[in-house]
Amino acid sequence: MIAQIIMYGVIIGIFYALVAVGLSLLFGVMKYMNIAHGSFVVIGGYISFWLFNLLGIDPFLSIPFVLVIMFVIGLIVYGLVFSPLKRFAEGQRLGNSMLITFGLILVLDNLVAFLWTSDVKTITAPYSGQVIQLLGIRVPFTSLGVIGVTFAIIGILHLFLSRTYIGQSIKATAQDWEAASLLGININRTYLIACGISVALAGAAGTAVVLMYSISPYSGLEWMLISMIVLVFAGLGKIREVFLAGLALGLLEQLGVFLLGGHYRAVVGLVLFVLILILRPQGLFAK
Amino acid sequence: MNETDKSRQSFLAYIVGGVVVLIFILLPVSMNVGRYVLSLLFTFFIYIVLSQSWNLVGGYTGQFNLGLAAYFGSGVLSCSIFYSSGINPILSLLAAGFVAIALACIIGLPTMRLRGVYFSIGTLALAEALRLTVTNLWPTSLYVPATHYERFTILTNYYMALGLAVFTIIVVHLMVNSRIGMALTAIRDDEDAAKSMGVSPTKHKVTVFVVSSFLAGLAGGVFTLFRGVITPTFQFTPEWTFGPLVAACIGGLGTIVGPLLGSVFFVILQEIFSQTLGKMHFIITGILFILVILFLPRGLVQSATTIRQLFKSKL
Repeated sequence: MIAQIIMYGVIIGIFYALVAVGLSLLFGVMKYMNIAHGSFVVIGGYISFWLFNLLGIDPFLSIPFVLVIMFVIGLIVYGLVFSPLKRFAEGQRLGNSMLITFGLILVLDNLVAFLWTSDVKTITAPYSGQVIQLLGIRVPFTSLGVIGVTFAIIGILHLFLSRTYIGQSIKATAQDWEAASLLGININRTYLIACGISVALAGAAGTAVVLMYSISPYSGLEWMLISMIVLVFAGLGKIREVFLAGLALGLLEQLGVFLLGGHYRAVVGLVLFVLILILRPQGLFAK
Repeated sequence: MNETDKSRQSFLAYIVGGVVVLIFILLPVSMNVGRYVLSLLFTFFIYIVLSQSWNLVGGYTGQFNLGLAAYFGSGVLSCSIFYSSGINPILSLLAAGFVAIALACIIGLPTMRLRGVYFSIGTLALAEALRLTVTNLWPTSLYVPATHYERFTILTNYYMALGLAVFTIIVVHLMVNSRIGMALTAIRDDEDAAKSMGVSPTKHKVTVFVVSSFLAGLAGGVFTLFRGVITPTFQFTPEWTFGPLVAACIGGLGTIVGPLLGSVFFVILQEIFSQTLGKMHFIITGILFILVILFLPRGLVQSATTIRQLFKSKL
């Protein structure tokens, strides 16, 4: 019983890390808070859903398509919404990025509802509902797949950031954009690519959401809040700690479910979140 | 602008304000305007109260409260509960305001220690936690006593909302033009500098947060008496934060006229498009909102001032 709870906590925790990693990247690089992150998760979920329903593409195989489409959407969003933000003084950018992406939520969520109605959608793949027994612990097949995908994506992201020129320039810009620009790094292009990757990662998380749960146009807020919690647990902008932070949230939530019942799952996370904001604003894992 | 100019302008503002209020008071008695217009104006008044309440914290302290829905919702819920347990409706309405204050003290005091983006996501998280809890505890609709509909006609509700809107504007006006208002602006512009001048940021922020919550709670109470039947979940949804936020930002942050203008804009936009496009009007509102933040950071009020100055320089 306890082992089963811990197992679910680990699965959900790793999945939460996937949901939050894009937001953390964007904040780390641009110092913008993207409240519409959850809406991008939902849009990614819809893309997977339609690829599965119309073309019969397996959701796990659809992830590369989702990444590409969402990357392009991310570039467009950068050009239309984030790029004009640079007109503001540095101190006002963060607050204004919040307001603007909030406006983006209104636009995106209602656009999604308009295009694809507000029905709740989910993917039932041939292997959905199948369970693997590991030492008496039940692990759903889709969850195992999502964990694999998360490891793959975070691994590739890590390699990309540390081994390629663009990745290294993203990291340099995150540390000190003025110094990076003095060294000849094109800051605008770096921001553009970082924004694209962030939105693409949100989209990949959306595929996991539509497989493990379900999506509807206005459910973006839920995923945004989860990303936010993970972000604060990890410490703002710290990409490496996101994984541990996701795990911590997943396990704590499952503990909450065990003690209080399933209805209060999200409440536990949110209340813990505010406590950590107040007591340890630099994050749980910051030194 | 010199002192006489300023006082003349504010005198003019009082006259205009008084005339507008008088028109709203006389409108239903002098003309047969019908239920539709009255309930539209009711929504407008509620939006004025909520956007002024949001602006008090967001515009004057620069802290974006994303949890206004929690205070409005708690006002709606508590008024309904008190009323249905046999307490006088007006007392229930006042109690709703005080429940919101109590909530602000429980929730607000800890979040007040947070700054900037932490404050915003902290308030949003708590409001969502409260919404989920309320959904678990009161999943069904709540009813007011059956005698309610005889005692409260649409006209009574209209005047109550109008009264609350006027009360809100007066309270905000008095607060902003007092020592508190000056302290708030100082804190907004540079918190550390204000602190070093002996202005306590926490004290002033808490005061203004409590007043803002009280107004939102009263708005919730008035809303309950208007609706009669309420479903608690719907009154805690973030829409009740987002609407007033959008109205205040479109109109102009940190001004009293801004939220008024924004509310007119928002309610009219919502009404026009909701009949043709349903909820899709939010797409247009959202785009407009983004454009205003990007190109008119001080809102429509700013553009009015700019135009006026253009005229003055031409003459």
